[in-house]
Amino acid sequence: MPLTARTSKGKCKAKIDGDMNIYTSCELKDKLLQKLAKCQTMELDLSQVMEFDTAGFQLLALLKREADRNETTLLINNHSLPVQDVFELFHVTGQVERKLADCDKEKASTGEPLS
Amino acid sequence: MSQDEDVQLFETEAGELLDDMEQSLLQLENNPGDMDHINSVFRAAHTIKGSAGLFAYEALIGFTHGVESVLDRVRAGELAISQELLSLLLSCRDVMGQLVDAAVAGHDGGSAEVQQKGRALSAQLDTYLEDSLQVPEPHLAASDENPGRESVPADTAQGDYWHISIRFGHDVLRNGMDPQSFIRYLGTQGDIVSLVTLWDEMPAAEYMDPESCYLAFEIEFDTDLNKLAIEEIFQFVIDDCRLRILPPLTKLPQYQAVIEETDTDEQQRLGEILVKSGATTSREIDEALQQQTTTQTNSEPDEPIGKVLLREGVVLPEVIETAVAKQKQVRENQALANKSIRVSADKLEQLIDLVGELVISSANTRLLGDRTRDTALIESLENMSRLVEDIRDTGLGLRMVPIGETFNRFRRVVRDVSQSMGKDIELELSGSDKELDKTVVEKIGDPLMHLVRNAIDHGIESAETRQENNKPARGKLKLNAYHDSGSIVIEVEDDGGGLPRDKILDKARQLGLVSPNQSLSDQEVYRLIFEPGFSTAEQVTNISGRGVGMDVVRRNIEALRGQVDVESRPGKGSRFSIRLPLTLAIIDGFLVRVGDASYVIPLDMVEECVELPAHANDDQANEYINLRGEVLPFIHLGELFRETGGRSRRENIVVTSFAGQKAGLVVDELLGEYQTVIKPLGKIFSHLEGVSGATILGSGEVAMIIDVPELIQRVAMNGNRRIRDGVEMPSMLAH
Repeated sequence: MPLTARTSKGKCKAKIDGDMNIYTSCELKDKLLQKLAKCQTMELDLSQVMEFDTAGFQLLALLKREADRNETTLLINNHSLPVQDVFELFHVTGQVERKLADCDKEKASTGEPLS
Repeated sequence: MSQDEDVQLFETEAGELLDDMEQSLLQLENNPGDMDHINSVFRAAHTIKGSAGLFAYEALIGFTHGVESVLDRVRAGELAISQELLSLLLSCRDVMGQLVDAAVAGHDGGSAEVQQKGRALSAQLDTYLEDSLQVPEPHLAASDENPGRESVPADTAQGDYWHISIRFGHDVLRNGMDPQSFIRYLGTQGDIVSLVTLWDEMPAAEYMDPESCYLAFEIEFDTDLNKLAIEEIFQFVIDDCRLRILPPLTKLPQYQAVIEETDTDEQQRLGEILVKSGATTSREIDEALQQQTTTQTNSEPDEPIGKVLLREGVVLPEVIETAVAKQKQVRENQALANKSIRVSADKLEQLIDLVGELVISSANTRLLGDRTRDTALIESLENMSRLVEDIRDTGLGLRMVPIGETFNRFRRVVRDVSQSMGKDIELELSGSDKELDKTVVEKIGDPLMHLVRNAIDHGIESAETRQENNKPARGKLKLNAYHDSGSIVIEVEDDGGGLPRDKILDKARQLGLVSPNQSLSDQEVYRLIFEPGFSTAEQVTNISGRGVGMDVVRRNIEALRGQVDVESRPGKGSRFSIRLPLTLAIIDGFLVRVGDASYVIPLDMVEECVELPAHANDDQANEYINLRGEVLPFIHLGELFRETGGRSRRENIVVTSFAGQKAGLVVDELLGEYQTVIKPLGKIFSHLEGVSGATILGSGEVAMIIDVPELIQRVAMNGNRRIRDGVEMPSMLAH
């Protein structure tokens, strides 16, 4: 079980220990969304993430979107090297929360991609 | 080629293009969405402008440019064809014609009147250009004018980098592939200048499948690779993603150059041209073709591949434009090569003359050959004369042109004249493929024009009158052509009120053409309109009715050895038929002997030959025989031409027919078929009656060619006179 989470006073501290990839993404999605729905602030610690692939990245993106939609604060901390690597590759590196938010904003302002 | 010849070529070409343009515009009236005709109109304007550029005809170029711009918008689907626009374009076409004439005459710009007209039309054209700018269609050009939507890739592609836009398919992850590995690999092949990750397609949380891929990337990429190589980077996901690769702007001239250099001798598909230049890959073309077919099945209009490619953002508009221009050029070259080759009329004339001489000389050779009784020689001569006959037919065929082109000119005439008279008239053409000699075609235009204008002005009634008479409000005018025994018959038929018999008769009596107590058949009355100075129109309009014309029409047609006739039914309409010989040069003849001389009767008019019954000569006044129950008047050629020499004991009647009338010509001997080159008689013999020309026989003897239509008329008139004079009809009529 890679996800450990503890919620108190509307604040959830979660930590993923292990892989965050296509094999774990289904399980993680349900659990993370459940936790997110029950708190005002979520701190997600990614320091122990081993394998991080596109499925994992998508999951974070979904989480961020849901958090914004429900006006929940999502803080992503201590990303491990594999996570940093993908973030850099996808040019979403740096202050992750802000960057993710910026991406959303940018998307909104520039409209749909070429289709 | 000298400058003069260039100018002449330009004039001819422009004339043809303007004709095409007019035809296509008229077709568009009935069929506004027809892309072929829209393209043809555009092409005409475009080519004229281009050619005018070679001669620096500034006024023509300037005016045509405006026309072309509007047409371009029509072609791009941004401007719909309307009646007003078509009328405007037709007027523009006329002004273009006038400008071409003026430019060729060395007076670029034309008269003040033309210039003024041109300015007025240009102003009208401008309104169409503005209109279409205000209402951008969601098509092609939208990307320039609508920065909100598609500008992300379009803007970024303006730089010196490739723009790659990739949207991965949902199954990519499940298939064991990860987009990040492609991006990583891309990074090793060049420099990723910027990258934007998008997940806007990710559905709401509950529907989001973590095993599906929802990512898309917009990438600025700096590399030396070509498009195909970049595409190959994504080879493994190519079937499972949407990939658009836009070349850097700097590549643009390169593609265009490659396209320009492509060989023009083969007709290529647009797609092929683009692939060859490296502007697209074959995968993209396939995809676009697929798109093309799917949109077609969705009952949308056929979308050209260039458009699909553009809409899909595969290629830049500039590249497509170059490729389309190239393709058009190839097509045009090919069309010209297929269509025709220009030969000067003199050369053709000379060839026909030689063929004529060949025909005579071959007849001579055959005659000599027959005398030798050498079977092998005779057989070979037979063969040769067959070939000569073929050469003659083909040679004459060179001068034959379909009448359709002449007919087509009338579309515009009918449209304009009927509009100016406030009548709604439909023109129906048939038999456009019937061919006749070019010289005849050239001369028939004016008489036809007169008949058509007359039919519109006098023939077809106003819409109100028509409705009162329970006829459809829309009048119908028919032009028809068909072949009939060596002649071509051209008919101009209307469904109007018919000729006013009483009015014509009154007028004829006023003019003293008919004596007051003379009674005439309907046919004879109608024929009176061909008399000089005859017009029954109560009003003189600017279209017709000035009292000159019908006699001129008849004179022109008779000058071509033709005939004009009219039929009319009150309330139903009238029909003018013009009967013309197919050619003026060579005919198949039927050689006969009369007394000591030979005569040629045009074979097309020969129906049959019968022996003259012995008793038919008993009574000189009785010049009829009973031909299977029909009355056949006949005439003795020997008496007519005062031939001397032995009358044979067994005379024959050659039954000839022309325009539905028959007459017999009595001859002494039938000599058989004979190819004849008509040598016109000199002016001094022009008053001779009964012969239309002469020919030289193989023996060197001269033979007269019988003018059958004239003889038939003469025989028929004799008959009528006899009937009117109260001469008793032969008793056999009672049968």
